[in-house]
Amino acid sequence: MSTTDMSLDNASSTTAAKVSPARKRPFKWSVVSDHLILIIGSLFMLMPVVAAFLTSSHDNATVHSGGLQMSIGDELAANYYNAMLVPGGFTKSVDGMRMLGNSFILGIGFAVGKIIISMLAAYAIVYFRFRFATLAFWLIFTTLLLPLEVRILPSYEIVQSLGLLNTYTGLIVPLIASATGTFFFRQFFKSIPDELIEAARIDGAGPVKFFFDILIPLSKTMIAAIFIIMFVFGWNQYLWPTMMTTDERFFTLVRGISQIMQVFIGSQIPDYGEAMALAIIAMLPPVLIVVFFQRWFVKGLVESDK
Amino acid sequence: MTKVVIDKVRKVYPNGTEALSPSSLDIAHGEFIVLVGPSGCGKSTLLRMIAGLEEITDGTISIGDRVVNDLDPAERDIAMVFQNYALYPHMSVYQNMAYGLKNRGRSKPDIETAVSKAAKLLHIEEFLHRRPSQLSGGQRQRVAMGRAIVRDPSLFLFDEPLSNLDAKLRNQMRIEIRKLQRELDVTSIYVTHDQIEAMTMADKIAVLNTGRIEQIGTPSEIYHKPASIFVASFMGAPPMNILDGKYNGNGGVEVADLGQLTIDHALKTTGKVQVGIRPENVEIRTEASQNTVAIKIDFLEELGAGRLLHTMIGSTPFIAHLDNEHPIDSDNIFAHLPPQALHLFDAETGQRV
Ligand SMILES: Nc1ncnc2c1ncn2[C@@H]1O[C@H](COP(=O)(O)OP(=O)(O)O)[C@@H](O)[C@H]1O
Ligand SMILES: [Mg+2]
Repeated sequence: MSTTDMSLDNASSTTAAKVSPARKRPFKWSVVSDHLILIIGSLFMLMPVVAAFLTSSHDNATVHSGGLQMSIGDELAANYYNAMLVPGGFTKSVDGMRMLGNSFILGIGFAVGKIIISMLAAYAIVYFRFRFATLAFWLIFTTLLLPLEVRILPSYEIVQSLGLLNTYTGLIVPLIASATGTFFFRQFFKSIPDELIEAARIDGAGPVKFFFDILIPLSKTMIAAIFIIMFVFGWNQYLWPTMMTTDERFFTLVRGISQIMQVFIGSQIPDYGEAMALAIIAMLPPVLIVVFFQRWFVKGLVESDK
Repeated sequence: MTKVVIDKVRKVYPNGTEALSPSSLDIAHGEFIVLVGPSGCGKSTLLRMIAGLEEITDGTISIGDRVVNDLDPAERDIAMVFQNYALYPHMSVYQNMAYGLKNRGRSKPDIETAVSKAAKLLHIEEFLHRRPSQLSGGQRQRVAMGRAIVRDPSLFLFDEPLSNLDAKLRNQMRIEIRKLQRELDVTSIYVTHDQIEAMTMADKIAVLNTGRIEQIGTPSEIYHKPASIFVASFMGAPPMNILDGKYNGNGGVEVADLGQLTIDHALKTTGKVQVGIRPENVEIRTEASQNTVAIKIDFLEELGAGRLLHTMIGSTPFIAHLDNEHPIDSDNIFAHLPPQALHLFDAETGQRV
């Protein structure tokens, strides 16, 4: 509103009266307290990350004796270099880059797998009349209540008997059936007007064409949203990769960090600096994915109208 | 040549609702037939069975010389225009129109020719690369029409295609659809709840009421010889005046608050009847004579081209449509109900007698 401000001098008194409340807004204590609360909240969330980053710049002895560091040290480059590029572990066969790659394979495989499986399941439930469809849906839905940990032993048995331990397939496939994803896609498909489906039927689109030509393009925003959630979820998987992978070449970042912290052999100090460096690196991709996809996601929401 | 034969078609939905009791309807090639009736009377159900979007419970439907009961919508050689347009939101106007042709395996140049021809006909050439969300309601309606005609189908189906448009645009599109249909010479079935749309557009009207076809006829037949009290009161605005009476067997009907009305033919019924007269058939007189009743003006509604006189006969509202030429003396007026303008219905069955 800079133009109105400029013309204010020779404006009539009525317009001046209209503008003045905006200029001299009365000071409100509630604004201060609101901001105070927000700032405290942000600090609360940010401090551990800042502490981890600062600690990752110190050598192991300092950290071991002094705990978390709140100043910048001089080992920053060395720690990140060692963590990412120098092979470590017992076998000296795996470096941080390899673990980063494994994490990406798990995160993306997990997210894409879940999207494919749950879209197909939701498609069947919403668009095909088969006996007990509703029952099938509710069965899938109630498994939402069962976390992975409940079925982890039988899953391990199966994967082991199939000889899939220490493989990417074994790492990803048992995790991708998704009640959450199925539920979200079902709700979304149900909101697509019947007329659109009928128009497509008259236009000669069979079930497969309808799925690829209409349903997938319309679901873009939904797919983006689920991708964000599932990528982060897959990236942060800990228990399953820990059980599944004994071969260090299949370690993910999250798994690798815990491995570093556990190497108390004799009087050896764990590589605190490297662990912190890996933790910071491990945090970045999910953050970037959220930032990148969020823009896309909002754009899709604004543009689409069914 | 595409004629459509609907033979004793019935529809019962899985939940047990009988949406359409056995109904038959013959549609000749090139005819524009309108299915009209109040909301929930089963018009969409019938149309959707013709389209193949609903199972046919009983009876047969043939389009051209094929019985289509077991054919997929895509195999019936039809095109449909929906109330909410049902355009694919993620496709451009061009892609929307081309989609059906693409699925039928037509070649690219073929599709281009067909789309640009249809676009020209509907004056939507400049929008071809826009998304549906970037178009106004009227433009979307045109695109939906374009998607229908581009395929050159043998039967058009319309389900209340104009009900989302404002009144002015609706009048304009009404004429345009009709012109287009004549030009393309394609048999058409058009569903609406709007009796004005039905009267103005149809070659033939089928009036539906609670899952039954009450009457099939030209607009003029439907208007001037309604087969039932339902058709009489549904078609026409302002609606037909209806009075309760009793047939006395010798050329007269006894009407409460009005007295004896002479009618022009003998009735096969005895007992209670309903007497209908259209507002424009009521004549205003200055003195009492046969078939007149003294009235007082409750309200005069100016229409520009005429006036509507609102009054009551007993406790029944009564409307007369007057011209502008004859000034009326509000103290001394009589409504005259000419015998040949009276519609008589059996009060029990509702049928014309
Ligand atoms: N899928 C359905 N299942 C059950 N009843 C339905 C279904 N569709 C419509 N009906 C019922 O059938 C009757 C006719 O509906 P419809 O043909 O849509 O009426 P309209 O004349 O307004 O187009 C209504 O009573 C409606 O409630
Ligand atoms: Mg309807």
